[in-house]
Amino acid sequence: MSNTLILRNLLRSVFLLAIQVLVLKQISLGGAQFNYINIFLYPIFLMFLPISTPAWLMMVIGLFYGYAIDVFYDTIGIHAAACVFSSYIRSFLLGILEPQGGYKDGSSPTRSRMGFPWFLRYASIFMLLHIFFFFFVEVFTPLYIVRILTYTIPSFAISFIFVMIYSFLFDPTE
Amino acid sequence: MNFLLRYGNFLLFLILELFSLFLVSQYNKKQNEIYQSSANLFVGTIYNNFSNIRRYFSIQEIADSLAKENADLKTQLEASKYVATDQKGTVLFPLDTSTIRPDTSQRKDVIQQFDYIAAKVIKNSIMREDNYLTINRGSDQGVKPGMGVISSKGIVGVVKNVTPRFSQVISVLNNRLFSTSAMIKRNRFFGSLKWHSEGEKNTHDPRYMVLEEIPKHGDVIQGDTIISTGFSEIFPGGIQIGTVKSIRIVNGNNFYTLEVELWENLANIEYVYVVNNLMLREFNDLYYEPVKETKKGKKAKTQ
Repeated sequence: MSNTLILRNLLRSVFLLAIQVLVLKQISLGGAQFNYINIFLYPIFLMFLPISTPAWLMMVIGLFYGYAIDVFYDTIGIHAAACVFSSYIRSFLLGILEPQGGYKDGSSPTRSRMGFPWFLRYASIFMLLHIFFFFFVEVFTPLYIVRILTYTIPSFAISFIFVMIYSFLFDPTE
Repeated sequence: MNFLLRYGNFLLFLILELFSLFLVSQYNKKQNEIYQSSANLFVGTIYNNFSNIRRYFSIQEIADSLAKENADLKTQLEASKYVATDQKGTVLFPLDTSTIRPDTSQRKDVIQQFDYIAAKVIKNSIMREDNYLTINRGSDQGVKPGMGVISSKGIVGVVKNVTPRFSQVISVLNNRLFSTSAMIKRNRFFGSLKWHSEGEKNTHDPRYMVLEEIPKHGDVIQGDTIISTGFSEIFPGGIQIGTVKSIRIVNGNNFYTLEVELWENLANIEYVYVVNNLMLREFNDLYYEPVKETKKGKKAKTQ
């Protein structure tokens, strides 16, 4: 990983963290009645980390990144748990979605790199798993699976739109 | 080494995940409570300690003694008394829970009917369809299943299960198990009080209950005070429950359905009083004796 790549990802993490806690956290889409609807944009950082990042490093980064989000959300541990989970899952997801020729060295799984259909699949699965696990930990009782899903689906739908907008707006090419 | 290479990532995943979950359960109130909770009452001790830590000790003691004193004062209220009369003279006091007449305690013809056990709520729920509370008094203090639970501002529920030190109480916000009779204080028209009307969508609002089956010819005004009837052996009569917020008639129905705004805020209730009906046995004899007799009769037949 070259220095510019590290710098790029560092900047992206700070930028997404700021957007998430300063802007998206303040938006309450569902009003008081559906206040569980959250917009998750910050997982993009984990999603866009270079493919060659080792899984253990992914998880450690995920833990710290999620913890940073948690500090602002007053939900110590919940986002961290979700980030560690999605970081761990990512290597399997990349393995499953690996194209015929394999991945190029040092590349990130971004839209412009991998093509729109591939990115659509990758981002939707990643975001769904991340958000599902987030609410899984948030509800903290696996028995309430129906409630977990009713929290997950609207949040996923709205977050996914935001992720797509982000990928078109900024269009990272590395 | 081979093992570490193969499962290292997974182990790291487990460690980091457990660490996160540990953080979640330690630093978040809701998840912490879920973590500590369990449906049975054995963990009541944990809840008790948890709620104790949150308060200053001195305040705790003062509040406890006040609650006890309140229970004693409630015992002296006329609604808790049974007025005995001889065959000639009828002594009837109007129901009025707000005044204490000191002379009643001296009189021979006035017998205690209700006394009260002060208790603290250590676990409460309002968001579910069927809600329960847990209080820190149990069979050691004389709490028995079926006893009513009230507070200074209304009724709270009915005791369901009892352990030596804790009791589980069916909240008034329990659609499946709770309903009681209540009446309009002004004209004594009575109906049945529960959380939601049958077939209506559950709004999960702990501030309101509905009083159903008030006859159409009974005049009701918004703001009327609702009190308990004392028809059951569970609650004494005349406990003020709330005020009428809205009046409506369900289509095709001959009764009013009143929305009652409760005076007690069940979301943050802390001190309650368990109602002990000292004449309960007499009520049971009155209501349930015939059942026993038929059973005996059946047995006799089979023999």
